[in-house]
Amino acid sequence: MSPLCHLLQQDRDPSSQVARHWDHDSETEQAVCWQAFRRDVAGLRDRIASGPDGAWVLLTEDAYAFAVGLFALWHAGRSAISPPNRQPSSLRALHTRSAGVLSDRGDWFPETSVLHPIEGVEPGDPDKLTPLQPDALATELFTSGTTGGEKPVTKRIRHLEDEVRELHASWQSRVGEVTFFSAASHQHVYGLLFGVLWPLYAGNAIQRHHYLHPSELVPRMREAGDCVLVSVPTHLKRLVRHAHLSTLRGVCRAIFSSGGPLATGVAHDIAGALGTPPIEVLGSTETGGIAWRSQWPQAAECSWTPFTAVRIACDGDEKLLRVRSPFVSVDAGEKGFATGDRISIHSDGSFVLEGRSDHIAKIGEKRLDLTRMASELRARPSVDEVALATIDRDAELRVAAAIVPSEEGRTLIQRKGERAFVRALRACLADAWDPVLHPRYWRVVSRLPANHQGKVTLEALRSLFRPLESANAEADRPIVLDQFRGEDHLERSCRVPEDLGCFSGHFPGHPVVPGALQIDWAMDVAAELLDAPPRVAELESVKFPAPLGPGQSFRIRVCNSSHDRIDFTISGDDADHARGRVRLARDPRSEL
Amino acid sequence: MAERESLYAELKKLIVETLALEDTAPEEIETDAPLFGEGLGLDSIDALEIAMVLEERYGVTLADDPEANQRVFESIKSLAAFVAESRVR
Repeated sequence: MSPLCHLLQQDRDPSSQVARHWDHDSETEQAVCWQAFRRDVAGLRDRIASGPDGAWVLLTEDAYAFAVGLFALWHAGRSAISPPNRQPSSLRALHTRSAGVLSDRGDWFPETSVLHPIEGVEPGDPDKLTPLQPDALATELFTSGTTGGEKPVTKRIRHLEDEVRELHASWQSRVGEVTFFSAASHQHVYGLLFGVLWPLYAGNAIQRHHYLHPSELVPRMREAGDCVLVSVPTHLKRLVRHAHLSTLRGVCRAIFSSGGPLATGVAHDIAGALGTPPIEVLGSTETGGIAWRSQWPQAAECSWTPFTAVRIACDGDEKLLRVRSPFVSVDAGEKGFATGDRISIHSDGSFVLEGRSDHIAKIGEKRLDLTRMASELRARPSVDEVALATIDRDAELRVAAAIVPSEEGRTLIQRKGERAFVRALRACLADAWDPVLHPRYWRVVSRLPANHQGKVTLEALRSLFRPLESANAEADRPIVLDQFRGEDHLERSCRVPEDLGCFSGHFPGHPVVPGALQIDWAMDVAAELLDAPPRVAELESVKFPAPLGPGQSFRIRVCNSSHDRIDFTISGDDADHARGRVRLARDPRSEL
Repeated sequence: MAERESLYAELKKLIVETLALEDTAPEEIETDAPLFGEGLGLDSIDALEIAMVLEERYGVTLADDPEANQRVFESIKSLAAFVAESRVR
């Protein structure tokens, strides 16, 4: 029996469960059985068959409604368009080129009529359903995080069918008879295959609702009994913090994770609580599944094992992972589809990931093209220059933006403040990018941070954001905002961290930056100006005219006025906080 | 009422600290303004994180009802009402 083409012809116990959900009104668990599923599909198929030909948008909250919609479309000889997100501009672009819209949320499509996959549809006669053709178009999927303007990835029935067969062969004996919970959206390839199609084929019930909060999910899983969780790193990172996670030991047969790298610590914590680490799956919309691994606590290095139907190669100087498999649904040429991942392959055919090669970032399981976002921002009249980077905070990747405002932007900042300026930029991203992908950290600078050769490197850019508030505070260092180097001087704009380590004792209830520390900060700047830590022979005429407190912005200017002298000033908008002169000791080497 | 006001302040501080918001001070968050989208601009990862921290701090458990949770996360005001009603510590 083929997994999808003959799914609805399967001779199953009519009362076996296909989907389950918790009904809030009756406070009971409700189930949909095999017979009802077949009738729902047949009924909707008849409705769709009397409508327009072609591809229909299919977007639902309920995973069961999605399954009914998908099979009804297929059996009506139509295919699906699976929107990647609910951004209004994406949905508008998709439904205007579609034959119709299937959704359980009419309010997401205010401009068009929507057919609900279940409500108001008369059950049909399932015996009239005929097998599907493997080469028929199945669905258009989208790489996550992108906009509706992107080129979709089209899957035929056979692409999905082959992959379901592979998942079944790999893990069905391990998971057995279970309920599938999914934190991954069925609108994407991973949630579709693992959370909907595989369990449907295997005769396992799917939980219709996507539980995201651990405090909702854990009790539901425990009540469901034997179960499997299809999840993503963002959720698993929170799940391990749940106090009662270990109550799922022996209940949860397997956790799958995909969409981005799972931190080793999280994998080990889950292994500690449940007895076994998650099964991580590497894949993409274009290639489908590529390889899998499980990070066991004692194992040293943990490499990826390709799926049996997958052939991998390591290509060129960049050592890019190339993939050939029956699941690849884009034209990939002879060498196979090139992913953005760099790898090295072991003699046994397994491989390790060595980072991504390109400007594509993965944030919260969503793929982001940093170049496109930067050019969108650069196109604003208030912006001159933009540089984007990803930075890792608390083991979570976020986007950071450095912006050089134009004349117009500077006027706006003067009139309305920096925050209003940033807010306006953020608003122009809102229509096309998921909020998770918006820059979380912004720096408005007078020029982009460059290295010694004047190039804007990733490292120079990250250093702008590196001065983390807390790390700096612990090290008693200011937050660096901007820096300018002249011929004989260096000027750095900074801010005092709110919780500088020394504030606790200096002085209680009235925190100020100690004079000695201000001199240290000035010497840090001097060290960069001189390319070596200054050898201080004597401090001359040091004064602290006005106190410097938490949160204040200031500039440190250090000038190498003569070969054995540097002058420094620490100044705010209205007053100087420190100024003085340092006489440098002779460098012993220069006397040789 | 003063109790509720101090809970507002506490939650604002908690959100700014939990999410390490750089450009927002707790007192700048409006009690009635939406936390997501147009307002404070929080996202779905932030929502998960806030839910976790509320649970750890106050022992509140979110009901398994997405529509209800959406209402809880609407603003500081709704969040405070939820915490005040269901907190165990």
